[in-house]
Amino acid sequence: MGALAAPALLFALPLAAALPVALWIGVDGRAWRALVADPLLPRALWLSVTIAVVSSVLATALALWLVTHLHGTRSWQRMTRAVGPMLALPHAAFAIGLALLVMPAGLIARLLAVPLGWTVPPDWPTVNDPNGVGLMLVLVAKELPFVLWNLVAVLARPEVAQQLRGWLAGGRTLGYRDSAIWWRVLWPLLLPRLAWPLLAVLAYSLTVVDLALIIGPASPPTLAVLAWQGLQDGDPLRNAEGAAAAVLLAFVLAGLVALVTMLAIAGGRAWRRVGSNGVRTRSLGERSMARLAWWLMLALYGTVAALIALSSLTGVWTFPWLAPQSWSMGAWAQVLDGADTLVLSAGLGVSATAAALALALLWFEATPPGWDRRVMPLVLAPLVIPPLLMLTGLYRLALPLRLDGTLAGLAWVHTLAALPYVFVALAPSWRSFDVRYEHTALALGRSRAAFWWHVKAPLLASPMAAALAVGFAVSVAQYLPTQFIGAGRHATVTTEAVTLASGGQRHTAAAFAVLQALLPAIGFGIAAWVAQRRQPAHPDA
Amino acid sequence: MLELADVTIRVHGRTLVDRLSARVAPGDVLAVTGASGTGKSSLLAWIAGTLEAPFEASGGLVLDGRDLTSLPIQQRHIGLLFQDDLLFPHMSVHDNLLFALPARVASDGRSTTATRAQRLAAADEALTGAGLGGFGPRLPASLSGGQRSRVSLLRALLAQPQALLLDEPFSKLDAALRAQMRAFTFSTLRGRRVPAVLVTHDQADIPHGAQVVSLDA
Repeated sequence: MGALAAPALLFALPLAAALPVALWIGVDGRAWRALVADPLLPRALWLSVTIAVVSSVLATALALWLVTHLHGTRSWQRMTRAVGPMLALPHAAFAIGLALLVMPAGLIARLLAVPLGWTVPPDWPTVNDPNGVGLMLVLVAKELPFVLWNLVAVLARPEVAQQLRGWLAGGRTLGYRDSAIWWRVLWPLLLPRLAWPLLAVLAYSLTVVDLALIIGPASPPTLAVLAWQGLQDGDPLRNAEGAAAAVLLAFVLAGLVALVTMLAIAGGRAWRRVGSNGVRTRSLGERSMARLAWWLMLALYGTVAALIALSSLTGVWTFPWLAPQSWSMGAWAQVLDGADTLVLSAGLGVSATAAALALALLWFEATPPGWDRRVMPLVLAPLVIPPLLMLTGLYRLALPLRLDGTLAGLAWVHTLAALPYVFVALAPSWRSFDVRYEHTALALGRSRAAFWWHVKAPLLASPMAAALAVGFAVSVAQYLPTQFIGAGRHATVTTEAVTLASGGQRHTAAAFAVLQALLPAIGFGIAAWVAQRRQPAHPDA
Repeated sequence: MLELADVTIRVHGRTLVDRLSARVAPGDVLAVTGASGTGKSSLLAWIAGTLEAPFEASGGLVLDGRDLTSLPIQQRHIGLLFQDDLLFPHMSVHDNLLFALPARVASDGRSTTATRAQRLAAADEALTGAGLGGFGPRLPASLSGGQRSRVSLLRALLAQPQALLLDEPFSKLDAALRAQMRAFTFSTLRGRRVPAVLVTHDQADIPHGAQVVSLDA
């Protein structure tokens, strides 16, 4: 039981303690009066809800539409392979690159300037626009691969794949085309399994701070940014108002979840009636449209990545020139001046991921597989509880422990952030490992340690490397925990990229965005290399 | 000599094995038969020391005069063979065998640490004796099913077990190979004078002269 106490103590306990602490701070009467009196509140609340709902619905619908029309075609394998790299591009880096594409002096405006004869940038409300269109765009484009990745994972399960073939064949013999079978039969059956990831998308879109700082509406900002501004304020009342706003955000999320659930139940009933109306529709060429949409999405990602790299090297680039007039290493010189930023990002990522891996392994080795299902809600909770709220509580816990503003405190919150991902990434391969290998090794008279070191660890090296890469990427991308628990004293490539981008310093921000994307890419590269070296030579193969 | 005394195994209030007693002399085989779900594998797991909740077991287990009932699996000196060969897929045949071979060897009444060359020689000798000379450097995946089964048996025996448990060891082999492997396995066990417990639902698996216990109610 001692081994069990460690993961619980280091992971579950802080989270379980942080939430009540945050709520206790956030329900202060004076703070709520101040929040309600804030003239920015109604607009901020409206913005947050519309941005979250519109972008979640669009990302989900787009993902379902793409899978409906591309599953089973030649494009499917290519699509599933592209989802990983798209996911790996960090949110903040993507937002910085997308801003470079759609801003008034961005690439799209320059492309239009020549035929339209523009000499000054157009008056486009695309970045920090009052309605949050830019933020919605980033959220849709960045949540799409996440939803797709979850869909692909569900569809790839052997039992689902088999049922799927049966249902599709059955539907075809009744005269329905595949897309009709997807919408009428398959999605209503499969969507309940995707409740958690879709909930995570909604929660993320509602509570995101770093993207909103880069590309979101500025004044008034979203509710999450309003809360964050309050929480950073030295004035105790403003601070408490921020905590109250974070609590309000959690209530809004709970309300939205309840609403979505009710709508899903009611909508599901109506959907079944429509689905069984017997109408056989004909193809409208959606398959080609889906293929085109997917190529456009890939092109968007490619352009965004290229623009970040380009912008980090740009000197003078006046509108409406299509290419920069001069190049400059200025941004990179600035980045290298603060090399400790890069060192801290990598160091935090490595230590937090290693700690998260150790905790996850302790859990897997000390508990029977059946326990995973019971702790899963606890493990996944950090993905759906607004991080602002959680961090408000964690910060108060860090104060008496003198962890605020320290590297130890940073490593601690990064470990908490990475652990759910490491856990979820490791669980399937760890739990499906044949226990008879262990019995065989022990029966040969060897110790558990020898078995672990010579057999289990080498055989599970590639899932371990993959989990480490995911955890590392998660840690590198952390903005809010780094700023909050680090008390703004420690800069990582992510905090620098976000701060510079929201301050309009696009070239230096782009250079940091390149690093922000490069660090996890290196991690994933190493994981792929390990997987290739350890190509499992399974006896049943 | 492997001795079972009044072994009883229950799960969820149901009795699978009821006061089973048996003595298996060196080189002999105790065959346990029965339909699936009758507790054959649970009995084997209990002898090996891998039986876990919700199973409950009681009874005595003595091997060459040592009481094993409270010993962990790695101190029982009982080898295990399953229907899958369970060779470690990332290790060569040599490394699989060396993983089993004890690090210390007895020579002139003294126990000394064997060199890698000595250990490899011992592994090669075992391989040659089984008609697998030269297979040492290969990975298990490159061997045929029958070859892997033989390596698996050799690996179990190189750990110098004082008893061997076989859980349907031939059920995944095709008919021709099955007869070959049966003959190879039981003649090897007789030669090494290792007492064995065999679990099977195939009467043809049971060697001549074995004690037979049926768990069918």
